[in-house]
Amino acid sequence: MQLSQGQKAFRVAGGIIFILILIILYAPFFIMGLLSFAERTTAVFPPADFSFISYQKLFNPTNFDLYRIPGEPLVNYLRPIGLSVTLALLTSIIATVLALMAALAFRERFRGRGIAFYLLLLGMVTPGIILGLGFRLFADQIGLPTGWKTTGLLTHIAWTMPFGFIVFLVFLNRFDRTIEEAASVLGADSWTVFRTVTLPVLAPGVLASLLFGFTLSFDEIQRSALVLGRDQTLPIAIIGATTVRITPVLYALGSLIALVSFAFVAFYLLFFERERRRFYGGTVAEDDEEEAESTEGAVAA
Amino acid sequence: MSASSMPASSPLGAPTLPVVTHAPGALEQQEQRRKSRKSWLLLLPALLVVVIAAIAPLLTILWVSFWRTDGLTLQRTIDFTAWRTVLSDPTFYRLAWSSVQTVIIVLALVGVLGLAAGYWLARFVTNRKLQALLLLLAILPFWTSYLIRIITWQPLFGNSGVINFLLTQLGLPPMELFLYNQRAMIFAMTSLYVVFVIGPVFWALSRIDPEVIAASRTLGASAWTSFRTVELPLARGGLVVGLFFASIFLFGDYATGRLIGGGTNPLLSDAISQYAGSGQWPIAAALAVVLFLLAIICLTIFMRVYDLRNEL
Repeated sequence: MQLSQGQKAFRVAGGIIFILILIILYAPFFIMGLLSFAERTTAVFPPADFSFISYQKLFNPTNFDLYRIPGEPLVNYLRPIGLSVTLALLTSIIATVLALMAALAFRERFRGRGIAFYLLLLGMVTPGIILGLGFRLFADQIGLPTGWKTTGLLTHIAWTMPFGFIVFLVFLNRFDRTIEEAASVLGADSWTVFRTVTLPVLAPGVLASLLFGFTLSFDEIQRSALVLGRDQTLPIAIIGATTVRITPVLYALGSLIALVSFAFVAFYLLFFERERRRFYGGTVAEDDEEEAESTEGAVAA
Repeated sequence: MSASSMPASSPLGAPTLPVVTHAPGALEQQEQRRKSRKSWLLLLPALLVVVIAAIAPLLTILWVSFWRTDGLTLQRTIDFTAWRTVLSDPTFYRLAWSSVQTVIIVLALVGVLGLAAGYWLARFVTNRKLQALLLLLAILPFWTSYLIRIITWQPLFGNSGVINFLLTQLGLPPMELFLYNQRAMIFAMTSLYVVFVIGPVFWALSRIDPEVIAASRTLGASAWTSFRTVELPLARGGLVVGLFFASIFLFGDYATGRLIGGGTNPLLSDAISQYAGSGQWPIAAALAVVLFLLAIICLTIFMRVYDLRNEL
């Protein structure tokens, strides 16, 4: 295609914008990796001395011999990490089950469908701080003790479920229901149809929903700050640490989390793509591509 | 929405044969009712969570905004003190305005940059593998902790940080632009939320058949005209999806403002968390009502511009 002058200019400008965005997105990770090896302070760049001591402190938070800087705050991230992983796993599983059930309900027309749709999205569209504040006040009024098992878990489910719900709607709207009918004509009862036909075809959607649930819950701070009671998730611990004093231990933690999540997500996306191709993609290039792109679009959103 | 076509419930012009025992469509109506009941049963657990963790909290906020505090105890009376305070003090108007301003500026920046980057990726990167790789790089940060991303801001942009180190190495004067002020906060938020726009814009654009654009060009449209009249309307869906999700995160984000803005220009979200932290629940609740209305207005505008249900 022949490009006009304007298009050529835009190609250059767009490319520069894209590269600048990538730099701004990734520079923090590189800096963080570098600073995690700083021994004393990270406020002055470049750091004066390098060592692995921050990683040692991260994994042995109670080994007092490691703390040699005067006035250095002692932070134990191991417990918050454990709690965040537990909470994120529970949240993603429960939210995915609820979202799948809700999305299946939406395959039929029923009275109140429109209002139910908006209600289901309420936990997602309401600004997080409001839900945290509201649930805290509500729990106080009905005498429900705040903590991760009660208000925390419910808040995280209400937050992540709508994402799974949207993912499943996208998949179900591209779902060929004749294969279910074929199975039931061949004598399968409705549970067998769901287990052996519907669920396997929806597998990529389940994967996407689980990933949304885990990531959003693991990183959640807006809603959690007021509803966790005495329990400390990782984001709460990090915010707490920043208000005292940022030490290189925080960057060691950040570097490890970034590495693990990049590896995990890259692996997950490859797996997701393979599962999706199994049921939704393959040979008929044109149609297929369109479908793939629209579903992925919703996933990334 | 679901394209699954249900049979029309009652056929028009029912046959007037005398042997009809059921009213026309009665069986179908019964079937319809059964399906309706099944749908609501499937929805029940999800709706229960929404009622407990979203609807009840929102109603409680509205209620508490009419209470008052005596010392640290909440008095359950109908009292307008909190609202009177919020509505009469210009500080709160400034707060609301600076929140709205921040959201508008960030969304504008995120929209323009995301549109440019997404468009460039979809139209000018022709190598499929490179395109996929760049797309992956552009959306990957969404899946990592955003707190982790913003805690690096201080060593990056601080007075003795990386940027100033590089500037002084190059013999340039150091700058104090990007920490603890509104500009820094807006810059940080833009970098956090631009991720939401690039992906959807890219997907929306790659759904456009290149033939359509070629056709518009053959029919004599200039590159600019075909961009404006063909591609932009088609990219609109992706752009609105991205901005919608960015604003969901943006409205409640108080951590970025606190860590990078340094609390110099507090947002409503930050003020809510601070009033709640100091036990002034009614004022926090009243501000939450205001923020909720602002967010709903913003999201409604997006839905007006483009009905997101088209993307499902």
